[in-house]
Amino acid sequence: MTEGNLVKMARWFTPLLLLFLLVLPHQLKADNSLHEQIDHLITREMFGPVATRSTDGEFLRRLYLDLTGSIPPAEVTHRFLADSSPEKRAVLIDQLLGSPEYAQHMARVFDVMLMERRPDKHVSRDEWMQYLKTSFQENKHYNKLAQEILGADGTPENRGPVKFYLDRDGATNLLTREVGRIFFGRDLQCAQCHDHPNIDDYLQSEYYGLFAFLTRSYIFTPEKDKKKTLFAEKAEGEANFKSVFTRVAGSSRPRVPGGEPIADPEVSWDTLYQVKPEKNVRPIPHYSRREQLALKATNGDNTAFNRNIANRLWAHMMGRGLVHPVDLHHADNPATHPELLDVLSASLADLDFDIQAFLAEIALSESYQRSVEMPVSLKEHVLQATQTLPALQESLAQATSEEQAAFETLEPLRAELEATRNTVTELMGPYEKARGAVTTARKNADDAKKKQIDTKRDFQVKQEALLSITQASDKTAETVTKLPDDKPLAEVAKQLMAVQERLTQEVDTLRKSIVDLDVNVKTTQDELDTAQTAMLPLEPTMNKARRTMWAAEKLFDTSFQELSSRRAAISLLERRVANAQALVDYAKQETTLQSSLAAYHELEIQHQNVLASTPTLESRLAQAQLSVVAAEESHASFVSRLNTAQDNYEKQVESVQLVIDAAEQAERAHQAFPNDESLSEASKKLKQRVTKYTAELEAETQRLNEKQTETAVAASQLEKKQSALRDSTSMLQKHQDQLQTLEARKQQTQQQTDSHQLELTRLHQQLTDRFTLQFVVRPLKPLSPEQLSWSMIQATGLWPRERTATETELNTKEPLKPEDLKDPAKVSERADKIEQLTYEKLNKHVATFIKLFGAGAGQPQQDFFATVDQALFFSNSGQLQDWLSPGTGNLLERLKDMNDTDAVAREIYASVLTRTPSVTEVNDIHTYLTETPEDNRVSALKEIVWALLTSTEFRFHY
Amino acid sequence: MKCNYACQSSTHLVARRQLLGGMTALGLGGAFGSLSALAHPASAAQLAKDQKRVLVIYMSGGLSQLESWDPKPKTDTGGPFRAIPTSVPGLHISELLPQTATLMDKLAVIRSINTRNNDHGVGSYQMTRGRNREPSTDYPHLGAIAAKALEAPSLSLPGHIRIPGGGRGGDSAYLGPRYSSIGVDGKPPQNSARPEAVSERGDQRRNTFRKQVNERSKLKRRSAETDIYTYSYEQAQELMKQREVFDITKEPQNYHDRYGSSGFGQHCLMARRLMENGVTCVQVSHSNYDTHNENFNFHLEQLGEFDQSFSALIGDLSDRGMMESTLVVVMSEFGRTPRINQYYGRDHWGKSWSICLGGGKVHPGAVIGKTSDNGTEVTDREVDHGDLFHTYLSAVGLDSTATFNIDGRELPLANPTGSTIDELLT
Repeated sequence: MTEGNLVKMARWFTPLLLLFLLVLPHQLKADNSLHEQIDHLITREMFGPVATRSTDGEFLRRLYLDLTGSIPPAEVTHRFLADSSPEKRAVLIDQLLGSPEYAQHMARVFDVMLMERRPDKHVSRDEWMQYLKTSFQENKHYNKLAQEILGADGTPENRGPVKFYLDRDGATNLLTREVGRIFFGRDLQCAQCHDHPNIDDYLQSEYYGLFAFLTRSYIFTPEKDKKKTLFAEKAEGEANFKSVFTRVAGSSRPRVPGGEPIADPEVSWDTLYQVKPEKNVRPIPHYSRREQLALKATNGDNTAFNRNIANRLWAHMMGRGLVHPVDLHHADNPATHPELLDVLSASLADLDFDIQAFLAEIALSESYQRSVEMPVSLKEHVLQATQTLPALQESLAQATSEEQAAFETLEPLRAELEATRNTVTELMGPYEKARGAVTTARKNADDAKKKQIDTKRDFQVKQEALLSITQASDKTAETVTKLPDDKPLAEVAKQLMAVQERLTQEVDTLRKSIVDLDVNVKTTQDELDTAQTAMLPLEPTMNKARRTMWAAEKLFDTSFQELSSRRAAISLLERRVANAQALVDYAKQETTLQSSLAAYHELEIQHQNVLASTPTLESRLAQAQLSVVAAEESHASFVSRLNTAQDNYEKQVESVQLVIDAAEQAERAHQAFPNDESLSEASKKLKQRVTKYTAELEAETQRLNEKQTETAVAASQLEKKQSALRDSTSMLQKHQDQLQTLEARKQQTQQQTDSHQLELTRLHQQLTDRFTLQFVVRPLKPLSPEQLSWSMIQATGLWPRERTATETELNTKEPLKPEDLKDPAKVSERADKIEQLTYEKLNKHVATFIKLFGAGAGQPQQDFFATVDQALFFSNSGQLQDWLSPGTGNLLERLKDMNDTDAVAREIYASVLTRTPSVTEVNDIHTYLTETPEDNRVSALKEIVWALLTSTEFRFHY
Repeated sequence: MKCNYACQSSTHLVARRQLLGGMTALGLGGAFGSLSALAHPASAAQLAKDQKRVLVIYMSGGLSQLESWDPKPKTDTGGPFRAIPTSVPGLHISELLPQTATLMDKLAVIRSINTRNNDHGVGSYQMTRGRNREPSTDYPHLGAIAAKALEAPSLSLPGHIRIPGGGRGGDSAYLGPRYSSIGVDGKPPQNSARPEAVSERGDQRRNTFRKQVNERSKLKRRSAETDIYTYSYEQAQELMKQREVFDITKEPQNYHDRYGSSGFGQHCLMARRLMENGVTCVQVSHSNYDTHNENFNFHLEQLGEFDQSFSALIGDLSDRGMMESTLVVVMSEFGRTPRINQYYGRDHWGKSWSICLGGGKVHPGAVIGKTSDNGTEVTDREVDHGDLFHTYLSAVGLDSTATFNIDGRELPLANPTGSTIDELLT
């Protein structure tokens, strides 16, 4: 990083730098290697989790996919995992960057980036891919590559690179958009008809600045070979525009985005062309604006160009640009790490755009080598976020008010600029007219002069001829007079005479016309003078107006960039606030979940406690029930005894009554017969009996009373026991109610906990995605259609199978002669040819994948989508089934003959997922195989490999 | 140009925040993009119930308006066919469409289209995209827009199907391949049948194992994208179960008789089956109306086929109560010249022609616009493809002036220069 760059950066990001300095002291480690700077700038974030380092398997798979476009072969995986050298990652990076697969892969990547799967039109796929492949084989630096593409005209030495222009039909508006998007990362399309409605940075004048480079170019079809169309350029044509919104019109000089406007050199009208435009002739201007574009963009000074490629290469390796989408660089969509993007683009320029060296640095960084999983604990990060949030919010408020101020400064400058543009536009009509008049007058004058000169020359020639003829004629005439009989001589004299006469006439005519031509020269010269005189005052006025406009443009630009950087600062702060807020929210949700869990726990304890008293209550109830039964029994026995007593009593009463009656009868009889001794005796005895029985009755009565009392006591006892039972029953009921309530509350809390858990998982995923955007967690990158197909080819072992088939075919069709087999050059040439033919065969399969997995032609190709036809293709197409059938050296062939399930599992996982399987995974495979009958073993193996190929882990690059 | 109003205006701030909102949504939400197009946001259940559909019947080559929706009998341009009354009092259409005539109370006609174009490619683009072709941008097909904006949340069938055809069409532009049409050729889609080498049990086993591999994987990370990916296999399995939807031999014979045995009849029958099963947009094309020679014989023959199948289809949609939720449009790339050429043909004509449409919010029996007595120019209520496009979208309840947010770019559903034909809609 040069000092100049630092100063520039400091100016651009002053507010941010201040913020960094306030919060966290740091220094730019300019002396350190680029990969160290990357890690420093990425992890210097004020807060947030950082994922751990990837495993060897992850790194191997990742690097292979990024640098060669396919997963590694199984044997490489086995070797790399077994290698204990600490340098093995760095060694692998170098090795892959130097491999032929790297050139092949990067050619495919750049094809997709530059052409976006547009159909081939003027330049064949072969020419184009060969050009790209050779470029990457030679490690052609990107500035050179871009320069070749932007400057291409389609002549034989640059047939390949002209595809970018020609296959877009040379349409100026399309090319303006595409050059802006692909080479400068700025999708200016909406700025074609007015300043961009949503993106403040994209001005119509910027669009036309780029347009001005391209508007003079067009497709030229040569008469000789109509297929070899060329991209020709004229020396004239301006980029005039008018906003459909504001009606403000302008004219733009060519201008690379972010660069200064470029003035055309002052050349006189007749030196515009090396080759003038004519029918069926391709013009070649002395000064080519397109060449200027190619030079000015790639000279290392254009920030937009440098950033675009640095960001795109970063995105290639990291799964996402620092600026995303990669073609929307503007202040409201700043890089996640603006300073890093500055460092990257400056370093890339310092490396003279050496892509290999640049990719190596990225691959060496820890940031590249991180895992896709978030660290488990986020506690300290949450704490930091909580502490930082208020300060961040305050900074945001301040940045917003600063932006407002910058905007207020800009607006008058914008008005001023528009006024100067209007002035230029108003002057433009008369100016162009006068200029046109001068051009016409000059042409007329030149034509007149040319005609005058030509005629004079003709006159002179003819006059001289006349002179000699006259002499000859005179002499002949003289001779004739001397030799009158010489008839042939007379004939000659006559002829000479005739010629002399004709010439004389011609000379006379020419003389006369010279007079006219002299007048004409004078007239046209006068006209030219008049036109030039008319032009004279207009030129300085126009120039002055233009200079005023350019000065206004400059003031506007400076102020505009100021505003842009303010807006960038706001956007960054907004992201930071959002990141901090997300951590805080996550922590809040965690707390909610914790308290919900605690509440559940509390309820659980209560529930247990309550539940503990159930046996006591139940036994108490049982006891009460028993007591009631006992009391009932005792009460019943008392009742029965009372009944007996009652019976006895009643019998006694009856007996007493009978005895009394008898005694009374006997007494009456005794009174009637007082002397009857026996009667007296009987009466006496009966009286005695009455006394006795009465006494007995009394005893009986007393006994009855006793029994009654006893029964009453038993009844009251029973009543008591029954009441106790009721109490116990209701206590148990209450207890059960309580239990039920607790269970309901528990269930409710459980549900709450579940939903809190779900929300927390969702927030965790969001947080992961959020910090993935900060490049501290590795993103899950879907494989591109090319990566997907080549990886499937690699995993199933289609290469060796196809190679063998190709070799056999070739050796049958064109066998090498015995002496050739001894020539190492011939043998190696044959090997190359086999490799090339195999590649071409396999590449046809890739085309099927591209149709299914690629986005539409001319559309951005990075977005992931998964459609049902893709899943159907994997599930049911014959293609994948065929790849899975055992055949020479392919995966199924290898697996078929392995008896050890462990070895089978290891081979499958190494081949498909570039890692060793876990114990569970081995067991799963073991179970799968033992559950299928022996004669279905191959089918079972195919099913297993299919399941791994269609797993999420295979589909995504992690 | 908001900055010219004033920075403090809310538009300025909203635009920036919208953009960032869009970016965040993208970062977190994955591949769906965000949809701001529903006029009345509703719950998923409500959406399923009110699922709207679009059926495009494309009369390839350019149907003659004079032999169909805007006959001019007994004029110098009218040709030999008569105009017949329809189920809408006062509305006459060509006698080549007798069965359709009885259903005009369910349909509507627009007779005042001027698309200022006589080229097939341009016309087809205009009518299906609602825009003129621009070199710098490709625009999505009506079907792709419908498939995205009216997407049913849990549909296993593709949302956009083209009959006849094969493979995925390149017609979704920036909406992404998810909404591209899948072509079917009177048969179930490609690869929808289990290969013979894989037994049914084996297929179940391997899919169960696939899920198990995903669960056991050391890769624990999930994202919207991984979910979409695993879901696509569920969809595939579901589609394989629903293959019958594509099998019109399951239709009773009397339906085959009503729709006719022609290719177009079969395609209409399949279109109905697909829409009944929730497919959002079906395109059916009928070829070929490019009648530079023998216009009248060709139309007699072609429209005979069309009339039978189309009327059967409209009858079915109507009987099944699907018209209210289905927009049906019969369109071409342009109409045909009023002037009859020396080969009894009519040539390309975009200056004054007609389409027929119905269903959704389209006023049944409506007639929009008029052409001159011999049909050579529009005399009332001129509309172009942009207006038609707005009208289609509005007819299925979308706000045609809304935008999609694709990767932070706000992209309007329809060309902002056009507008809905309000009087046509209820």
